Amino acid sequence: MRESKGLAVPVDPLVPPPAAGAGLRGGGALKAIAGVGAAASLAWASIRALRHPRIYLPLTWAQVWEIGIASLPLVLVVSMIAGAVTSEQTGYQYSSTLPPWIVGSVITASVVTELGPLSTGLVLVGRVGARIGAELGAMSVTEQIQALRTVGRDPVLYLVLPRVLAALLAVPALVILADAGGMLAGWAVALVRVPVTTSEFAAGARAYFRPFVLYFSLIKGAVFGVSIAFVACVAGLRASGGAAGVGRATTTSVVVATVLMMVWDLFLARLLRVFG
Amino acid sequence: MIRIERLRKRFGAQEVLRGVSLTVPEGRTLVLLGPSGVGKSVLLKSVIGLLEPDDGEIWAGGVELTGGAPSAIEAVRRTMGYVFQYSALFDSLTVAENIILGLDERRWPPEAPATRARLLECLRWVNLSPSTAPRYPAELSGGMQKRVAVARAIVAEQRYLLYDEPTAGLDPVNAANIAGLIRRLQSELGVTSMVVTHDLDLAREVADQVAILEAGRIVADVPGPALDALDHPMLRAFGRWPYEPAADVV
Repeated sequence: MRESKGLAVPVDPLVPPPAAGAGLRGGGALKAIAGVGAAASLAWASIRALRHPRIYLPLTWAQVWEIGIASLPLVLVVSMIAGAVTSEQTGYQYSSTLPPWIVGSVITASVVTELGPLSTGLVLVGRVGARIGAELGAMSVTEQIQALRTVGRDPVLYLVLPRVLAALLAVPALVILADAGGMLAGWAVALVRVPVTTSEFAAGARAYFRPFVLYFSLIKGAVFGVSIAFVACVAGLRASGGAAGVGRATTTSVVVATVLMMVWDLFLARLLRVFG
Repeated sequence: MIRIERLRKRFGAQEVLRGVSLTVPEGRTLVLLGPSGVGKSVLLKSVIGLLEPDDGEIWAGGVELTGGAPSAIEAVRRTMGYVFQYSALFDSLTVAENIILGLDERRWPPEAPATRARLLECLRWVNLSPSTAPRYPAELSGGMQKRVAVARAIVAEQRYLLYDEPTAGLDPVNAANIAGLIRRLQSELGVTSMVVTHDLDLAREVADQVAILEAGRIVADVPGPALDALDHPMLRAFGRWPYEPAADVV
């Protein structure tokens, strides 16, 4: 027999919080604490679930397609626009006072260290984070998550781990392509608008570029990807209360992942300064 | 046999179950009646392990599910099937995939002939044709979805079946079909069942034993045939009491 634990707030990530009126009414801080507790619990459950690759790996490949390949066109469009805008702004601000090749350095620095990962992350927050939050949220409110448990399947293994691992694999690859797309667009705009020659642009890019910058971009992609997928999984699994609950889970996925991504960006910028 | 002793469950300040005790003999069907929100589903979900009770004991097949050895608990839980109020079928999976999800895929590979045979057998049990197998839940009526949910709950030859409002949202014909199915599964497969409902017709049809849950406590626990003689304010509040067969026919 178990004694009462007296927990007012469930921390099991797979147990949605009680409905309004069942104990947490008006307790925004408590809900936030419960959310952090649920996230920690889910993270630990995910780590433990890593020992069953036979189950989650096939599902992970399917999610790599959803998160990676299906997001590629939008990621490329957004990163290319970001690169083109950066080139335009750089040309406007620097061409009269600095040598033209510096445009290549500035665009490389901006796109590879910041705009490529960030624009990819923002696209994925909307496209992937919202989708995962809504999908798992709908499964939660229609008791599909609980049904999965009653047939002996662990939702962490079948739903969470494949999505988080797919994001870990796919997002860095997307970031590299976004970096390339942004650089390409930046170069094309610079040719016309600065103006700068291709050899000057390339010289500027080479002057800035070091392998660490690329690694840094990859690290950012991996951190952003895992954050987006994981936050959406937590929000989705904790959804309750019908359609409104699914809406809240989707909003939470987008808002929390965006803020978390910016916080990571700040932290990683410090990392670049220290190690770069 | 399922035995529940002094079960308590609290959500925040609200104590939903306040020392519930019940026993369902082997191969029998207990119907748990009660208005919405009194904790009937919480009780059922505590039995199958979806919710952890704060206090009390749950026993099934001689194993304490609230404190026994984890491997023994897992073994018993594998013999339990659960039919959700709104079926809870997986939207993205076909009927066949939904049903065989309840099987251990190491023993029952999805493409194996034995798995296919088991699937067809389950579909037969719930009166669904094999042509239903490749369809998606959204393509089925509510009654058919419910029957798929029952098929999923029995696919691994479960000994215990827990039904949460099995006739909710169904028309009288489909509700009668589900009631007949519950009765047949009990009589032919010998499963021990708990049925949570506020459908008195269903209770009359399937109950060997009827309990009433009110304000977190069991306030009546009688043999099924005694239901019509039971005079309880909650039953009167259902608006169909006292039972008048002649009026039903009209």
